Amino acid sequence: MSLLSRRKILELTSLGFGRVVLSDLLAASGGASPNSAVPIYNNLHARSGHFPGRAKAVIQLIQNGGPSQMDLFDPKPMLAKYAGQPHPDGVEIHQPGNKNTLLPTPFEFRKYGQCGMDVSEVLPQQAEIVDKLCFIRSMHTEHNNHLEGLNVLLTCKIFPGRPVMGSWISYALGTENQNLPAYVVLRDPKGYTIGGKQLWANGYLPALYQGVEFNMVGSPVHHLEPANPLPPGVQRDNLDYLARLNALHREDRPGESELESRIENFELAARMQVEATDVLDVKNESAAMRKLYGVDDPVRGSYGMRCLMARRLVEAGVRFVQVTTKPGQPWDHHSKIKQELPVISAETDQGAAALIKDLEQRGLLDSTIVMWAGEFGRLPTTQGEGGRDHNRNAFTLWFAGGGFKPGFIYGETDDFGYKSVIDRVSVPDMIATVLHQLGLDHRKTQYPHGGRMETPSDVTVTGARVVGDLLANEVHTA
Amino acid sequence: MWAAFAPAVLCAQSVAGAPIFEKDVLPIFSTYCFTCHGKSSPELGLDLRTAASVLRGSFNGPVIATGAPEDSRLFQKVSKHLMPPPAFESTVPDTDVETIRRWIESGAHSEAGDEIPEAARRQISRFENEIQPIFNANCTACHGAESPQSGLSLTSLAALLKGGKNGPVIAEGFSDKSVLMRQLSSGVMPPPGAGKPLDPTQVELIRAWIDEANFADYVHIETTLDRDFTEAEAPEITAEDRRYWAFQKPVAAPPPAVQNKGRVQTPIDSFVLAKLEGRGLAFSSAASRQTLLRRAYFDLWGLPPTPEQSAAFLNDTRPDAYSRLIDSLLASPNYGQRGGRFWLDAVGYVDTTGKDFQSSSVELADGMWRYRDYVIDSLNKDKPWDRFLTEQLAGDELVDWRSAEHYTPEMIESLVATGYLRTVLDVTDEDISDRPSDRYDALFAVLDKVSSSAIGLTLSCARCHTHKFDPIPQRDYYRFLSLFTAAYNPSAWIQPKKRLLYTVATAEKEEIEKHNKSVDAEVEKLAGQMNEVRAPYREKLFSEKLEQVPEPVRADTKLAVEVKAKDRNDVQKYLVTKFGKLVEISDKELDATINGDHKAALDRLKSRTETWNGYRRDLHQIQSLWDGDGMPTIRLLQRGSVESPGPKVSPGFITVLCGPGEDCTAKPSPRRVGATSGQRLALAEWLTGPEHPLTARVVVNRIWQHHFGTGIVATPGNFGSTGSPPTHPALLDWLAVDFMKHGWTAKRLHKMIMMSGVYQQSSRHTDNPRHEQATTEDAENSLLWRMPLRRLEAEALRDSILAVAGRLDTTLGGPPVGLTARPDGLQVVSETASEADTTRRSTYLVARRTWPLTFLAVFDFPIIDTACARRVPSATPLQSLTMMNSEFVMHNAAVAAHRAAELAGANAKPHDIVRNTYRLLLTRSPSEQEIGLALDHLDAQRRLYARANASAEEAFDKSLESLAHMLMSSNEFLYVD
Repeated sequence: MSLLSRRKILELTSLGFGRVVLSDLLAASGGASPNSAVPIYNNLHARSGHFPGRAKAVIQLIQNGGPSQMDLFDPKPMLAKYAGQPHPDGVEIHQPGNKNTLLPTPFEFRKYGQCGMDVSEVLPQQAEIVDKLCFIRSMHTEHNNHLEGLNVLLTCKIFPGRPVMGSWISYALGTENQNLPAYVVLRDPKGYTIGGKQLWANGYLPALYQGVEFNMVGSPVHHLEPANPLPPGVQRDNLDYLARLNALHREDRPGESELESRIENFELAARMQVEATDVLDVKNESAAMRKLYGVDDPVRGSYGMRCLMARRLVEAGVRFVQVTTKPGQPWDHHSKIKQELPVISAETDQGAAALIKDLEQRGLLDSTIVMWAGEFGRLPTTQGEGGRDHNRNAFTLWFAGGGFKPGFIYGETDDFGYKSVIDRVSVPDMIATVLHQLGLDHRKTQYPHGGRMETPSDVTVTGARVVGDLLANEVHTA
Repeated sequence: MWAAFAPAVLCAQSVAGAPIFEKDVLPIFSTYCFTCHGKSSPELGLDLRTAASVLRGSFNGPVIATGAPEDSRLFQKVSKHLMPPPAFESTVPDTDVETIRRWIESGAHSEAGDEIPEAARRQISRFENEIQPIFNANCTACHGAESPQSGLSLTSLAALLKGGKNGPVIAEGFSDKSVLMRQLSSGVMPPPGAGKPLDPTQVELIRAWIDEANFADYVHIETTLDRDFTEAEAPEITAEDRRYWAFQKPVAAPPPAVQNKGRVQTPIDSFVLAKLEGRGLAFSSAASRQTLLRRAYFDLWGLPPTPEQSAAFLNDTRPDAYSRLIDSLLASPNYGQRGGRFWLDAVGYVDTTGKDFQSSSVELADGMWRYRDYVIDSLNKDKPWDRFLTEQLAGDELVDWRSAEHYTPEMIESLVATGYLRTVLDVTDEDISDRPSDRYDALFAVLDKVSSSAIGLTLSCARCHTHKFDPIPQRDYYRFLSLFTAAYNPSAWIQPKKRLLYTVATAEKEEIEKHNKSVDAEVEKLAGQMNEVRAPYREKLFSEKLEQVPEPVRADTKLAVEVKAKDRNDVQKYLVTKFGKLVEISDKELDATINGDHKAALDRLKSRTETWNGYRRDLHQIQSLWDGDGMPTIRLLQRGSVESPGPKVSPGFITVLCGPGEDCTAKPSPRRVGATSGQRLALAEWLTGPEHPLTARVVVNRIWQHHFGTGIVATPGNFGSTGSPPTHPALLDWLAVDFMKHGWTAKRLHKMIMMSGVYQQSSRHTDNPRHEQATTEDAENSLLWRMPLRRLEAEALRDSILAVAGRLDTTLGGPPVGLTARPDGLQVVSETASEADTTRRSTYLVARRTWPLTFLAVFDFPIIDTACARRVPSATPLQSLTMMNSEFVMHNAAVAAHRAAELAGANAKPHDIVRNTYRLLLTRSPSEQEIGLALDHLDAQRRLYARANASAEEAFDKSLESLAHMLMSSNEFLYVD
C-alpha cells in the first residue's frame, strides 16, 4: 500500500537526501539538568545501561480488569471448606453489592510441569508452559480503582503525570532500530483500554519517549499515510522539495542543530512509512506460525495477532512493546465468574503461550522479558451473583525470559487469598527488577522534574528494591 | 519504659440489659464501619475494633461522651446518617442506631478488662528478646536515648512506636507501609560507612513482627497531638540561609557602563552588553525589519502578520514606526489571547476539577471558562500585576458580595478571579472519594499551584519533611496551607459540584428560580392540553402501527409498551427490544396526522409554549472560592499523611521570605470586606508588598521568558537552590524594581524589552562579529549574544495555519469549544461544533487535563498535572507525519494555496502566485533562486498529477496546494528568527 518501494527509498537516500545527521536529535533545546552529573537524553540512539543487562527488550501483556488470582493461579482450598461463611476479619470492599461470604472457585485446578504450578482449567495453554514462566503470587498494589491501579502498575503513582515504565526504558536505553519507534503499543482495534493513551504516556519525559500506537488495521501509525490519497510520486517529490527549502533555511542558520534534527525527522517519517508497514505485514508468516498463535481463529485471533506482531517488532529491534486486551475491562468479574472468566481466558490464553514458545524457538526469549499482569486481584468474598470485587492487597502475575527464573513460584497469600503475606512484592519492586534485567539501576535512572530527581520506581518514596530471588542471574551491586 | 493503657471505664460491670461492646456493638461496627475504621489504617485515627480504641477517639479528640449520646460525635454522625458516607450505599438501621445510643447512655461497657491480651503480651516480649538486641547491636549508636538522629530513638518499644521527628516509623500490621522497613530493606539504613547492612534473616524477623503486630493500644506513648507547634521544633533560619540571592529584596543597581554605547537603547542593553563585553563578546547586528515584524507579531499575538499588515509596516518610513507597531500590537485583544495562555500554563488551567481519565468525555466545571476570559481580559486591560494576583488569591474578600442585592460587574470580576484557586484536581465528587486524604490532596494541589506560579519556589518537599535544599521548615508548609482552610476547610468540605456561585446575587437567584418555576408550570399546563388534542390521533396511529407486529404477540406487545420500563418482566423487555421501534411514535409524525381545527388548536398551543419558554431566565455559574464559617484546626502532617497528624499550627507565611526577626504569622487583613477570614487577602498583601523578595522577580522573569524562550532564571517556577541560577542577576533585580516602581504594568515591560537592542538582534550565528568565540564559549547563548531561534508553541502553530488559510476566528471569550475522541484515537475539534467554532483560536478549545487536541499534544502542549512552568519543545517523527499527512494541515494548506492565487489576481503568472504564496505563508518575498525552485516544483507536481489523469486545470491547482503545503511544513514556517 505504501507509496514508496523500499528500492526507491534506498535510491533516494543514496542520492543524498535526508542525510543522516548524527548530532543528537534535540541536543540544543532539551535544557540542561540542574544536576549536571545526570545526562539528559533527547534522542533515541541505542545506549548502554549502568551495567551489562541480561535482556534487551520487553513485551508487556496488560490484563485489564483485575484477573482473579484464586480462579487462575492461586487455588485456596479453605474457600471451599468455609464456603458461604464470613471472612473472619472483614475485607476492604470497593463497590456496593458485596456480601461478606467466602466464595470458592468454580474451576478445577491441576498441578503442571516440573515446578508443579497450579493452574486453573480456563488457561490450558499457559498451563503447558509453566516451566518457562516465573510466577509471583504475592503482588500488592495501592488502589482499588481500575485506572488508578493501572497507573500504579505502570508508573508507581495513582495519578497521571509520571512516565510509564516503557517511557523510562526508552529514555534510558534508546532503541536499536532508528526507523521504528522505541516504544510501540498494540491495542485492540475495537477500542482503548480504560485510560487510553495515559497507559503509554511519557509524563514529564520528552514526547520522544511516549508509546506510539500501531494500528492493527489500515495504516499502523496516525498520519502515516496522507489524509487524502496522493498519486504516485507526489509525496516523495514534495519531500524532496521540502528538503531543499529546509536546506536553504539551514544554510543561513549554521549551528542550529534542532533544524537538522527536524530535517532528519521528515526522512525518518518517510522511512517509517515503509518499515512500519513492512513489520506489520504478516503475509510471509508460515501456516504453522499462524496456527501457533491462532490468528485465524475467530475467538483467539485478535489477541493472537497482537502477540505475533509483538514478536515481529521485538525481532525488528523495538525496545518496548505493550499489548492490551480488548476494551471494557475484560477481566473485571463483579458477577458470574463461572460464566465470564472462561471467555476472556479463551481469547487470550493461546496468544500468550504462543508468544513464549515462538520467542524461545527463535532464541529471543533469553533477551526478551515478557510480563503478564493486571492492575490488581480480586476478593475471596462474594459480590453480586457469584462475582468478586477488586482487591489491591493481593494479585498474581508472571514473567518469562530475560533472566527471570523459569518454572519458579514466588510468594504466598493468606489462607483465603485476600492478602499477600510471604515474600510480598510491591509494584515499584517489580519495576526495579525489570529495569535491573535491562542493565539499569532504578535508583540511577533519573530525570529532573519539579526541583527533584525522579526515578522510575519513585525509590525515595517507595523504597523499591530489586527482588533477586526472582532472577537466574546475580543482582548487580554497586 | 512502657506502661499499660488502662481507661477508667473499661470494666465488665453487668448492668441488666445494658449493651456490651463485644456482643452488641462490635457486630454493627464490623458490618458498617470497618472498611475505613477497621484494620487497615483507620481514617482520622479512629479505630472501631476495640472498646478501648473507640473511647480513645480520633485525631480530633474523643468521639464518645460516656452517658451522653447526644453529645457524642460518633452518635451524632451515625444517627444523622452522615456515617457511613452516603456514597457507600449502606445505612445503619434504626434498631442498630438505638443499640449504639443505649450503649453510650448506659456507660459504654465492655467485656475486656485492663489485662493485656495474651497475643499482645507475646509480641511485646518478642520485641524485647529478639528485636531490641538487633537494634542495640546495629542502630542505637546513632539512634540512642540522648539526642538521637532524626529524633528517632530505638532504645525501647515505646520510643520505637513514638517514631522520629517526621512521625511514626512503623505501621502496625503493615511492614510495607513502615518507613523503618523501607530503610532497612533498601539498605539505606544503617547508612553505608556507619555500619554494615542487617542480615536478611534479621530484616525478615522485623518484617514478620511488624506484620503480626497488634499491641500499640497497650503501650503508653506521649502524643504530640494536643499541643501547639513549638518554635524549638522548627529548624532555625540562619543568616547564611537568608543570604541566598532570591531571599533578599531586589535592589536596582545602576546600569553598568559599556564600551559600545551605540548599541544601548534601553537600560536592559547595558546589563546584557556589559556581561558580553566582560567576556570579550559583542551583540549581533540588528535584525532586518522584516524579521522584527514577524518576531513582534508572534511574540505579542502568536500569529503571523497578513500581507497587508506586513506592507503597512514595511512602507511606514517614520522613524518611530517600530515603536508604533508594538503599541498597536499591545492594544489589540489578540495580545491577551496570546499572553493569557502563558499565565494559564503557569497556573495549570483546565476546564474541569476532576480527573479527566476518559478520552471520550470529561465533566466540565460549569463556568470555569469565565476565569480564562478574566485572565485574557486582565492582560488586555493591562491590569497591574499586584492587583491581578490579589484578585486571584482573594477577590472574594475585596468586595461585599454576600450582602449585595445585585452584583456589580466589579463583584463578578473579583469572584471569577478566584477561579485561579479552583482549577485544581479535587476528586471529592467521585465515588467514595471524599475522605480526609482526598481533601488534603486538593489542598496540596492548591499549594503546588500558588507556590510555583506566584511565589516561584517549590514548597512540595516541605509537605513531608523540612525541605532538604531550601530553608523551608515543614511547619512553614502547613501554616501556609492554613491560609486557605477557611475556604478549603477539610473539616467542613464542600464538594466541587456544590462549590459554586452564580453571576447574580442570592436574592436575585431565588427570584429567577421562582420565575422559571412559574414558567415550568405554564409549559406543563400547555403540554397537558396538547396531549388532550393528540390523544385520539395517537391511539389511532398506534393501532395502525401495531398491525406490523405479528398477530400472536400483538396484545402482549401492546401491554409491554404500556408498562413502565422498570416494571417490565423479562418477556416484556424482550418484546420492547424487538418491536418497540416499530410502534414508536414521534410527536412529529403524530402531528402530521392531525388536521383541521385540531391542527389549528395544536399550533396555537405550540406557539404559546414557545413564547413561555422564551420567558425563561438563565442562571450562570461561577467557579469561585470563598470562606465558610470559622477556621478549622490545622496540624502539621508528619510525612504529609493525614494518618499521622502532629502539633497544631496557625496561619503564616514562609519564614525565609520575611525579614529577620519579622513576625511571619498572618493577621486577617483589615481591608477584608464582609464575613470572611481575611487570611488570603493578608497573603496577597504580603506577596505583593514592597518588601517581598520574589514576587516581582518571578513576574518579570516570566515576561522575559515570553520573549526569549528562556527566562533569566530558566526555571520560572523554582527560584530556590534546586532551580537554575539567574544568568543576569543584576538585570533581573533592576527589572523587578523598575516594574514595581512603575505600577506593575506588563505592557510597559513588554515594550521596554522589545525596544531593547538585545531583542532587536539578529538570531543568526554569523551575524555576530565574534560568533566563533561565542559559539565555543556560550553555545547555549545564555549571555544573549544573539536572539534565540524559537519554535512556535503548539497553539501558535495551529492558529497560524488557520490564519494563513484565512479561516482563523479571533472572537473573544465564551464557553469552550468541545473535542471529540475519534475511534482511531485522535482527539479532534468537536464534530458537532459549528464551522466558526472549529476555527476559534486554540486558547478557546476545551482545556483538558490529560486529553488535549491531538495536534496540540503532538507539538508539546502539556499534560496538566498541576501546572506547566515552561514548555519544552521536542522534535519527533510524529510531528513530521502530522505536517505531511494530517487532514488539518493538508486542508488548510489547500485553502491557503487558493487564497494566494486569488491575491495574485486572475490571469497571474505562476511566478506571481509563488510570490504571493511566500508572502502569505512566510511574510516575505522569495529570492530569484527560490522562485526558480518553486516553479520547478510546480512543474514536477503538475506532471505527476497529470500522469494520474488529472485535468490540466486540476493538476495546476494541486501543484499550488503542494507548494503551500510544503511551505507550511518548512522549518521557516515553524520557527521565529
